[in-house]
Amino acid sequence: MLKPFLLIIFISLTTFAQSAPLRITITEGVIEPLPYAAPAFIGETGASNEVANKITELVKSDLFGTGLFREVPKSSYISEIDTFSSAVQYSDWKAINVQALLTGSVLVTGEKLSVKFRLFDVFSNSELGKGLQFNSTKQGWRRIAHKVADEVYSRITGEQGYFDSRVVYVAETGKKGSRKKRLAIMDFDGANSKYLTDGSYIVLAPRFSPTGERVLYTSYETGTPQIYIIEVATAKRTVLKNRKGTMSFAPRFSPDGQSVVYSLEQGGNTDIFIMNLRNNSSARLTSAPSIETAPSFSPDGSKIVFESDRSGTQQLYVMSSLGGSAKRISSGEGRYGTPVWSPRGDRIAFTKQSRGRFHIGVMRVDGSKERLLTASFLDEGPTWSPNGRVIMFTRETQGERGVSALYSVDVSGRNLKKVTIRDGGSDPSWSPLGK
Amino acid sequence: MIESAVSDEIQSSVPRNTLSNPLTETETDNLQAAIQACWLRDPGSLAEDVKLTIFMSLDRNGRVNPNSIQVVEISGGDEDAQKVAFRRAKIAIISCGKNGYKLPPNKYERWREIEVVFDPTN
Repeated sequence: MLKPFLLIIFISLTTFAQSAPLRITITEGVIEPLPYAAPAFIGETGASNEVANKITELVKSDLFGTGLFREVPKSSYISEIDTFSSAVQYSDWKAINVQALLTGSVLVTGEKLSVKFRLFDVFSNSELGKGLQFNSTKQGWRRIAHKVADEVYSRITGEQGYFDSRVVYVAETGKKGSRKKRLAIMDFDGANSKYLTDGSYIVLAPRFSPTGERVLYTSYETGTPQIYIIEVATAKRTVLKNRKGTMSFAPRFSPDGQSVVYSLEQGGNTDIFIMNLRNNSSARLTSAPSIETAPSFSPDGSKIVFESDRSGTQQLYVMSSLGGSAKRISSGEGRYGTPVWSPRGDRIAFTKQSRGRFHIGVMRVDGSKERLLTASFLDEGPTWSPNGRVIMFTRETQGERGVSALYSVDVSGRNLKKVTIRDGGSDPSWSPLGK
Repeated sequence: MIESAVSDEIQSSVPRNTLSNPLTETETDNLQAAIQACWLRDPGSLAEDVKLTIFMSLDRNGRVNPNSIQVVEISGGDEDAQKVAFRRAKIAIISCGKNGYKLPPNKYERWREIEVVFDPTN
C-alpha cells in the first residue's frame, strides 16, 4: 500500500519541482549599428600591402554605409591579428563588445590578386561560415572588396548584400531648362562611372534587364518618345518598333527578360502594353480612357502594379500580368505614382505628392501599412537595391539653381544619404547583384 | 530500490518548492530592462518578422550557462532570418548577463530557469 501512495506524492511533487521556467517577454530593443572589428587585411608580401589596405577600407566603407554596422576602433583592441591563421582570442574581442570579427589577407603576384577572409561570431566562439577566397586581376580590387563586403553583410544579416551592383541613371549637366541628359552607369557607390549616350538628345527612365546586361530607356532623338534597348558592354542600341504616330515610354523588363511592359500613347489616350522581345508581337493590357502608366512586374511575373488617374487622381493599381481588371491599392490622401515592386516581393515603393510635398514611400502589396520614408520639395522615381533593403531615388532642389541628385534611404526610413556622383543625376535604376 | 529512489526525490524536492515566493513585478521588469538594453534591433530586416522563445539556465550568481541556451519556439521569417534572430537574441542574453543578472538570491528556484520571448512583431 505504501508504494502507490509514495508514487502519487512523487508525481505530484515532481510536477511541482519541474514547474514552468520563469517567462518574460521582450518587445523593445535598441536600434544601434552592430559593433564589429576589421583589423587591416594582412599583405602577404610587401607589394600586397597597399592593395590590402585599400580593400580593407572599401569593405569597411561598404558596411558603414549601410548604417547597420559600427567599427570598433583599433585603439580599443586587446588582441592583434598578425597572420591570417592567427588563433582568435574570443574573450579579448568580447571584452570590447565586438560581436563580429573580420580578418583577411591579400596576395598580389604580378597582375594577379588573391583575397582571403574569415568572419567570426565572437559571442558563439565560432567562425561564421567558412573562410572564402576570391581571385581576380589587380585592377579588379574594388569589385573583390565589394564581394567580401557582400559576404560579410549576408552572413551577419541573413540577407543578400548589394555592394557588387551597379546603377544606371540619367547624368545631368548644365543649367535648369537646358540640361544635357546622358545615360550613365556606375558602381552602386558612384565609382567607375561612364556615359552610355552622348547627350545630343534627351533620355529618360533607364531600366536594367534582370541579368544586368541590357538597359531599356526612353529617347527623344526622333522628336517623339521611343523606347530603346542598349547593350551595356558594347553600347549597341536597338529601337522597340511600334506603330507610327504613337509615343512609347515608361518601359520595364519582365522578370524573365523576355518581354517589355510599357506605356503607349495613341490619339491622346495612354494605355499599358506588353511586347514579346523574341517576335516583337505586342498586346494591350489596359483599355481605359484615363492615363495608365509606370508599370512594374512582381518578382514572380504574375502581376503588374501601375499608376492610373481613372478615379480622378493618380493612384496605384495591381492587375494580372495578362491584363484584365485591376484593383486599386493606394488609399491615402494625395497622388501616387512610379510604383516599383520590391525584389523581395513583399512591398511596393512609390512616389507620393501630398500637401505640396513629395515623398518616397513603401506599402504592402495589398496597399496596407503605407509608410513615407522621405519628404522634400521633389523626391521621385524610387528603385530597389537587389536585396530589397535600400531605395535609391531622385531629389531635386527648389528654384532656378535647383539641381537633381541621387539619394538612398534604408527601407526602415533610416540612413538617408546623398549618393556621390560627378554630375547631377536622376532616374536611377539598380542592377541585379553581380555574378 | 524503487521505494528508496522515490523517497530520496521527495526529500530533495520539498525544499526547492517551499522556499521562494514569485518574483515581484519590479524584479521581473528589471530583468526585462537588462536584456532589452542589449537586444540590437534592425527594423528593416527580415529578422523583424521572427518571434522566438529562448530557454536558458542561470547559476546562483545570475550568470547564464551558455550551453543551456536553446530555442523553445520560433515562428515567422525564413530559415536565414530565424538564424539571425536567434543569434541576436543569444548575444543579447550573453552580453548583458556577462556579470550576472541582478536577481534576488533567495528566490533562485524561481529564476534558475528562464524562458525569454523576443517579440519584435508586437
